[in-house]
Amino acid sequence: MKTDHLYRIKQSVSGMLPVALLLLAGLLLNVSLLIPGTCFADEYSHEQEMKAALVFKLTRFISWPDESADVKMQTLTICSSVNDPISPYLDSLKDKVSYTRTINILHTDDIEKIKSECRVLYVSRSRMPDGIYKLKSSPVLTISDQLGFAKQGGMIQITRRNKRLRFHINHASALQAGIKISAPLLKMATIIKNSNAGETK
Amino acid sequence: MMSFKLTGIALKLRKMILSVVGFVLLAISLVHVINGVVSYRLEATERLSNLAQIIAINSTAALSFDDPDNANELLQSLIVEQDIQGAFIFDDQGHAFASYSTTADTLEFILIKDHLKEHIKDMQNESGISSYFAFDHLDVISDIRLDDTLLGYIHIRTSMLPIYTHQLISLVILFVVMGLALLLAFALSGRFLKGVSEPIQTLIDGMDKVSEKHDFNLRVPVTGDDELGRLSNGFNEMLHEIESREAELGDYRKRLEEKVLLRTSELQLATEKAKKANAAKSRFLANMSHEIRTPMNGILGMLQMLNKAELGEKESRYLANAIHASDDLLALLNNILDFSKIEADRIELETIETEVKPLLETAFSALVSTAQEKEIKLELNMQHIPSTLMLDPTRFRQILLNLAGNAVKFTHQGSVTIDLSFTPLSGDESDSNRGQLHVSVSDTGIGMGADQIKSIFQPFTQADESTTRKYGGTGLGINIAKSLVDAMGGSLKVRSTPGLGSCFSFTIPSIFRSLNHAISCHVNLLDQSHITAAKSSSDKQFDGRTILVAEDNPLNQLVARSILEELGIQVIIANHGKQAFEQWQTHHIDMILMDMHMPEMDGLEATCLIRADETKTGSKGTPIIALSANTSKEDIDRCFDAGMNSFLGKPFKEEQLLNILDEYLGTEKSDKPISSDQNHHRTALLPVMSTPLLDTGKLQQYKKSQRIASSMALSWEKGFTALERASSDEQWQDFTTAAHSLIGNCMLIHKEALQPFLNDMQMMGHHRPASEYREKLDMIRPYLQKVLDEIATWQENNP
Repeated sequence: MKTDHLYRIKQSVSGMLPVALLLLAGLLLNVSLLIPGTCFADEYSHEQEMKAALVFKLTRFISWPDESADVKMQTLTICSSVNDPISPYLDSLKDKVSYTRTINILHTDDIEKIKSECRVLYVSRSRMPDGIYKLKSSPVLTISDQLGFAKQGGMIQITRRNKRLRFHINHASALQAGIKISAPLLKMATIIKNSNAGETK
Repeated sequence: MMSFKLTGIALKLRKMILSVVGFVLLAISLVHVINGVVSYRLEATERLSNLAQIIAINSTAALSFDDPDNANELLQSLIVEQDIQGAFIFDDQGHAFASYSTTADTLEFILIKDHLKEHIKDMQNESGISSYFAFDHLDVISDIRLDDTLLGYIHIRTSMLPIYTHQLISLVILFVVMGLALLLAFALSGRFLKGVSEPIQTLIDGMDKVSEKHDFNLRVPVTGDDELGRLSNGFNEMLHEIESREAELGDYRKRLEEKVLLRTSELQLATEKAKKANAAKSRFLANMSHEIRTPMNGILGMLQMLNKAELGEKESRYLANAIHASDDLLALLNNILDFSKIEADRIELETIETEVKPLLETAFSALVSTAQEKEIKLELNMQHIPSTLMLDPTRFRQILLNLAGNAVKFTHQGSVTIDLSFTPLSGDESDSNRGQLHVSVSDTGIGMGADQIKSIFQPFTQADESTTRKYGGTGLGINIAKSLVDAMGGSLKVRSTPGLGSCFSFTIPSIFRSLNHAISCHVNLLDQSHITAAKSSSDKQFDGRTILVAEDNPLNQLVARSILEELGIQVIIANHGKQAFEQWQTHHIDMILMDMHMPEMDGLEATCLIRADETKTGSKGTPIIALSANTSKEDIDRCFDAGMNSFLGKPFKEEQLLNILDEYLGTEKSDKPISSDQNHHRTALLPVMSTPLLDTGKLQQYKKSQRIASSMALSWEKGFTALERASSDEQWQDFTTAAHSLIGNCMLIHKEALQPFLNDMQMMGHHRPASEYREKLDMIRPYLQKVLDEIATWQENNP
């Protein structure tokens, strides 16, 4: 079941790869145009979709504080801001299972709620909430495609390189929140350290 | 250095040890190598699996987030593993995602894809790991999963070459070690096997020595108390056993030999004893018969005298019986004497040319009266018998008489026939005078059975005891006849049928002179008997003659006197030799009957004296007839040697005496020849001077030969001087006495040399012309001188 699902996703991703590559090239040339506009709606949604899938995949490499190697949580709540463009795509992840964790999707902007309920928080680059840094020390994995996100204390920053999605990881932030990131992912990702101490406070 | 040369069992053992060691080492090596390869495979698989797992885990992120670079980086880390030839990471679709290769060879990729397909198909594989072996490499393919989601596959290939090299090296090392081990085993086995082979060799050597030299003293050294030691011990014990047995056997043999020696000597002693006893018996028989002869002579003589007297009819019958019994007794005595001689092997045969017919006609005269009484015929048949044959007449007659006597004895009616025939040997000239005389005596008597025939040749044996009771006799007759026939070169045979008669026959070889006058005739012996009886009727022929009888036994004196006086002869009796000589000197004696054995002086000595006296006086020789119970040839020879003219065995019969009287007194013609012939003869016989006179050999035999020689020299010189003096004084009585004294000294002078001549001188008497004496002395002087010289020479040579 899972493999089938993943298989399908992979297939759709790889099938759209040439188109996506073209779109990305265009995007890089006209960044300012692309961000607000919806003229390349398909490409955009596709990218959102990929990112959502990426989030799910990431959960497999992450271990939360009350988890051990064998015992995982029963539910895993992935949160996003209510207006975050990724939110609709995240919904598709609902009820998927990562290990024993059944994925639950929650859209909220309430910091407290996020703190208490969310385990993963995706923040799109344009929607960086102010309170995100207030999440510090809470066991919430923060993911964003915002530039400098990791540098500013975010845990995983999704970047692009050679038309592929890559990660910048602020391992220290994660560790501070009691979140363990598995070695293969760390090895693959670029490890980022906090830019300055004042900013992280 | 130790010897590597081993033989036999040791060699076999060494081969065994080496082959076992070699095999074991080889097996171990193979197992080791195989084990090495197998375990290397397992290990390699394990290692690769682990490696694959690690890479799989590490590549989960790369696969999840499609980062081949990261995956390639991961694979590049395999560079530290030298054996790994290459590695691939495939995505979940089986497309190559990342790769690593130390070799440029990519052709293998297709093969790897095949393995991958196989791996994917193999859903059963719980571990998610598959391994594929090829000769030179090992492929391991593992799933890459994360959270039970298949992300892709990892493939790693490792080369198998290192293990082969490794195993090759270890194999080489193993072989080297094996070689060394074998060498060591070889060397050690040599040393150990010596402990086995040496004792065995010692045993074998010991065995060889024993079987070669039969020296059971040998002992083999015992080494240790293992099987070989026990074998050596056993061998030694065996040797000991054999040795003791040998010794025992030797002892036994020694004892046996001693026993045999003892028995042999006992047996020899016994044989000697038996021989001695037998000889004593024979001697006793001879002595007895001799002793019996003398009185027998008297009895016979007296009976014969009585026979001539006028007697009544009754007395005549008694007398006839007495004479008959005496004759039988005499015959018996003769038989016993003969038998004892045969027993002593002293039978002597002479070969004389004998006229056969007279011999045969007179041989059976003793049987005539018996045959007449029993009214049986006694016949003699001769066929082509030569008139003369060379044989011993006495013994031949005895054989015939014994056989015929026996035949007459056992025949009650019918006849006894003696058949003689002669076959000359036809052949070479040298054998032309030889021939075979066949004699058979057959009767119609009681005969014998086969068993009896066997026993009759045994001495003292007759057909059976009842025969002895019925017919009497000593049983010696046939035995003596057989012995005599054997001595003559023939053999006596018997054929007999009980109740019908017997036939004794024999054939002896003989020599004849001529067959020209061969006799063939048939004689009735009963008729012939009268002819011989007529001869004894010349009674008065000896009237006036004087006969000197020298005899010490009064009975015999009487017999002789009776017989002779009956014939008209004057008889003078002398009791011993000396008396006889005196009587002879004082009386005119026509004839002397001289007993050989007498006291004082025996007949031989007396004869010598008489002959010496006769020579001295030149008178004619008186006939001297020897009388003796000793009828051996030796005795008879001695009589003739002493100068006697004839010999008459005692007891004699009247006829025999008459024959003698006839011969010497009857015609007077024999007087001269005897004495003068003798005289003439002996003078001429004086030996030549060249031969030695002294019998040194005889002299040497005496213990005190020196003393004898000197006394002899003295005697001879004395005698010689006496002769010379007598001659010069013309005292001829002394001359003969001196000659006589020299005769006494002739004992050690060769008999024929001087004694006869001295005898002549002694007998010259003292009435001859002086010239005769001197002539004699001249003749004998050189000889006497020579005797003295020879004695002196002998004395010088034998100080």
